[in-house]
Amino acid sequence: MKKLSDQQIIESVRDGNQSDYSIIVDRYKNNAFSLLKRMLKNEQDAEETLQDCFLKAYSSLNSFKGEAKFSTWFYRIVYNTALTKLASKKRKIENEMSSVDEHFDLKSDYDYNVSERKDMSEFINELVNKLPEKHSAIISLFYLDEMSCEEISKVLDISISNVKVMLHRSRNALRDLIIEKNLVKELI
Amino acid sequence: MNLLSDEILNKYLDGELDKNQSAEIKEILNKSENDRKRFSALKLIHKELSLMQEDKASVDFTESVMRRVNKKFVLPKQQNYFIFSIASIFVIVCLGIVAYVISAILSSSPMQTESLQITETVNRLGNGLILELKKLFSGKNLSIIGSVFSLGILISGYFFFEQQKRSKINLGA
Repeated sequence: MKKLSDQQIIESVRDGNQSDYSIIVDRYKNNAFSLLKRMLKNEQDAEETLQDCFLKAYSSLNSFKGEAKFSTWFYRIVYNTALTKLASKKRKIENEMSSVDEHFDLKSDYDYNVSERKDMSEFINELVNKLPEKHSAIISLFYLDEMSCEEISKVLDISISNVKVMLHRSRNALRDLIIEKNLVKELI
Repeated sequence: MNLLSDEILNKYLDGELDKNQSAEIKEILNKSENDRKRFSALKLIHKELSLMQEDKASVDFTESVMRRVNKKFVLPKQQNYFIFSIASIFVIVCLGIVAYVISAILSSSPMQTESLQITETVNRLGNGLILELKKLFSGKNLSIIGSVFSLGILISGYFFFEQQKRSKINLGA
């Protein structure tokens, strides 16, 4: 069967077939959940926030003009809702430039024990969860949602060069950690 | 000694350098073991991140969202439609009665000439309206109208009850 595009599903929902919205929910729930889990660092918060995001998106469907891709529009809602959630939890939200300049030290944040390790992908996954919110959001959008730096810049409302800086910085931090822990050979 | 910056290595990894620059980097990587190690690690991180699996939302997540969508947006809309349709039927019935009364008055009055005063017409219309309404709501007619309204109320009550039942099922599901 031919897979319906997001735009076709949205048109159908607008025409009164509300149950078709479940196709959109099924299509985006896991990737959006991954993004929120990495940003909020909490599974329960991530799921509750994601439900709110889908409700927000439903109530704003009429304002979606289709100029941008639905995924970009939806992830903007997800990202901004996550920021609001973080702010409500009185976490420190820094502006774009300070986030780019944000220095994080995964080495001190993560005590890696080879004997406790189950597999490398789990290890990398845990490290990504340790990254600051914006950096882990970029990693999630770039690798899981396969978005381009341009699309990510639209979602996060920052410049493309800042997206690249944060992406590179995250990769470098992960790389430095595996070099320090002598895991390069294991990975190979 | 590191010859290549992290930025260059990342750009090389993402294929953002031109042919000449790429060839130059390749040459440096062949010569410098330190840079080669850094680049290999970066490439492996990129590979591992590409293989990263999405996290799964709970099994009943979609149902849960759709329940909330129904509760918040769909059901209130349906209820509004229901109330609007009942109100419309009531207004149409009332207008029908008024139209019937006016037409009865007009048909019973003699032909009007242009010279008649408007006030006389309005007075006669008013008096006629009262008379006709009295006639309409008395004796046999009253019982007919009463029956029609009772039927309307019964039908509305049935639909309202069904509506409430459906809402309860949706909320409880």
